[in-house]
Amino acid sequence: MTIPPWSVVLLEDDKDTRHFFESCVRAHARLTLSASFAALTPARTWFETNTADVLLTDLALPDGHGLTLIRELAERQPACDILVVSVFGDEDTVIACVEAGAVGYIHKDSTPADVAQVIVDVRQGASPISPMIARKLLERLRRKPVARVPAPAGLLSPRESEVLELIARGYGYAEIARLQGVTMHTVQSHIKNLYGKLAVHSRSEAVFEATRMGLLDSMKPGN
Amino acid sequence: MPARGLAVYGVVCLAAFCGAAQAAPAGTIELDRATFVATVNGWPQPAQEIRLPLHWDVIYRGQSGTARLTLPFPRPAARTVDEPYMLFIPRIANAYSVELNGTVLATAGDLQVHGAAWSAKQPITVGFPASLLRDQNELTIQLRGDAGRRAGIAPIMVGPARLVEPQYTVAYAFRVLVPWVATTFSALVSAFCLLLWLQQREKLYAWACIGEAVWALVVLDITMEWLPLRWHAWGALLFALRALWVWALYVIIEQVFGTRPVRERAAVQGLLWAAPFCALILAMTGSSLPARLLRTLLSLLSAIISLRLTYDLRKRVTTERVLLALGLMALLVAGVHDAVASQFVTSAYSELAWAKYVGMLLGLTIMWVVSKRFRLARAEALQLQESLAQRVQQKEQELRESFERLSQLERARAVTAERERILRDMHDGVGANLATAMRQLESGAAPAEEVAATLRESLDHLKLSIDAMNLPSGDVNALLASLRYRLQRRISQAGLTVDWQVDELPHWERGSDQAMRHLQFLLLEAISNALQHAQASTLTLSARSAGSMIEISVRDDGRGGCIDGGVGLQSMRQRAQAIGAELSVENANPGTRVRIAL
Repeated sequence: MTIPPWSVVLLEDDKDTRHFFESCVRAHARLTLSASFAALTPARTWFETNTADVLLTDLALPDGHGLTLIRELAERQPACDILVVSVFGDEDTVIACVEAGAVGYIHKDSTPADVAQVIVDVRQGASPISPMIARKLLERLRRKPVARVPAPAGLLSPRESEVLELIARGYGYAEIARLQGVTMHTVQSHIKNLYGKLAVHSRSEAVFEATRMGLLDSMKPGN
Repeated sequence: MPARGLAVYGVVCLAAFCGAAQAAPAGTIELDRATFVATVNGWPQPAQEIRLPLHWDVIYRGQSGTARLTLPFPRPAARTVDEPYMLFIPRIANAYSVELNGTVLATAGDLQVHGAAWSAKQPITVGFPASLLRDQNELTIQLRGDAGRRAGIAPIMVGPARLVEPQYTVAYAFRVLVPWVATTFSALVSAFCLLLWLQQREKLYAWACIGEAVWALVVLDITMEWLPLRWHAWGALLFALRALWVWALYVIIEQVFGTRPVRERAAVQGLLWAAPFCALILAMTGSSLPARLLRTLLSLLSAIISLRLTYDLRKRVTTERVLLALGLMALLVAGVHDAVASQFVTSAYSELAWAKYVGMLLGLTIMWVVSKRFRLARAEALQLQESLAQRVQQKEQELRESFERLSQLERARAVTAERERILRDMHDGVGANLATAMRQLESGAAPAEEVAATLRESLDHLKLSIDAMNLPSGDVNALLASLRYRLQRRISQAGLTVDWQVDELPHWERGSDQAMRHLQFLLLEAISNALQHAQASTLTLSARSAGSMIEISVRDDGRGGCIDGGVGLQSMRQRAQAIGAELSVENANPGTRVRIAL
């Protein structure tokens, strides 16, 4: 029994980079390229009628911001894993994308093998993270909870918190797995779970904010 | 204002003179002829016919004794026989008994004990039924007279009560009620000054308070029949208090007219220091001679001072100066009058002392002076407060502005420093790498992997620079972690495995943004050296805290021997020096160990 390859969609305005990623995907046996776009609008239109397993998207696009598509997809096609293409992988950009629903990021300067590996890892339940992002997440999750919104600290299990701390101190997945006596896969899935919780939490926070500002009242039936 | 003050003076003086003038109404008899038998110092004196008023101190100066007066009078012509009759004596002292046709009508005080505490001072009436009267009547009055205590008796009025009583009422008003009013007034002025003094510790208020309090007591004494002490002791106390009052007045004069001449001041002080001794002599021996002498001297001095003050008025005329000078003049006149009347003039026995009225005027003047001073002081204080508030506000404004300027400068400085830092980073890192890559490409000799490696290094530098911007100051853990994350690929490609032994580290106190950047470069240099020269298989990076120190060590297990010189090592030393860290590079056998102690 053969498992069908995972379908990948590309959204990247820079031609060279797009071609690079296209070739990376095509070169891997487990991946197939479903579509490739240079602008936001055709990509959104395509996703109205089609679906994919992985979306690789740039953020700064000629006709809009990649976050728009990330939000839409996270809402409508939760099965699709979204990866952001970033030059620096700096924590502010990455966390904003994770909160919108992305499950990770790919460096623009990665080698072709790395690119394919990250995509496959994500499909298998892992998410890329850097120590800077881990530190920022810890900082954010330990912050005082906003009133009435469930405390984000509650989202973090002790084991997850431990993993985050070790990552923030510079340890790799394998080292953490060894230190904790678990498999590397378990460590990796902690991160993906955490990203998912963060996205849900950020949505509930947005709902809370909207309620507080009275935005939702006007949407109730009868109004 | 001076006009109003003068008007008040006039009205009060007029009232005083009206009160003094009284004549016997028709239907009453005034008794002023008496047969007088005195016993002085235990020696009986021959009987004599006298005319009232009797003024003991004028006849028997400085001596005490008793007297018996017999006053015959016919039946008063009255319309009805049944109506009640009345005797009215405006003044009688120091103890007495009144007998009509052998019936005792009234007694007061002890007729034998000289200097007793009780003393007759107020006017008296004695009622009796008409049936007691005969065609020829005899009124017998016994008196006790103490030396210098204003003993004696005024002419007596006999008649139906309805005619006599109004006379008594008038006399009571002037002899008792007016002094009480004067006392109350002085006490109020004193209390007023006390309240002012409690708010502002001004000499003027304190002495005005003391002076008016003493004056209130002195005036009250005019009507006090029950003394708290035996008479000599009481008299001595009053005398000492009067001296205190004179000093209070003198202080007030100084406050209004400015500092007085030294000799005048010394004279007043000298006389007043003598006052307690005179009072002591009076209390111990009963001799009033030193006291009287002192009083005379003080009166003379007061006259001189009053004249000088009036003369001083020509320099500067103000309401308070005029009022005070007039008041003092009036007081002087009243004082001389009272002294003469009480000691030398028989006919003045029933006259009222003037001093209490003048004292009231003086009290008014003092109140005027004090309240004006208080108003001025308050206005000054308010003005001061206002100007102070303005200055505080101004200073605050200046402070705010200078703070604003400083923070602007600080911001500008920070921006400049940041710009310099970024430029230096670009120059040392990305710039240098790009230049190298360019040369490699242009020479055409370098293989593609080498150019790619240079460019990767340049990208790593850029990423580290971005990390450095976000690194929290003093967080060495975060710095090490980011360094590993960014360099991991290069290390792996160089065929090295990493042995990562990083503990939870304490906050690095001296880890400013600048210092963090230096540390990052230092470690980058150490790791790059290991990658390029060591030909090692393991790179061990350990970090632990030892006491207040943080120890970081980068160690490879390569061929070692790269301790000597080199531009890289030199720049590492410079950076270590810049952040105050100890740097040691040593052979670890195998390999090289770079140790940094923060």
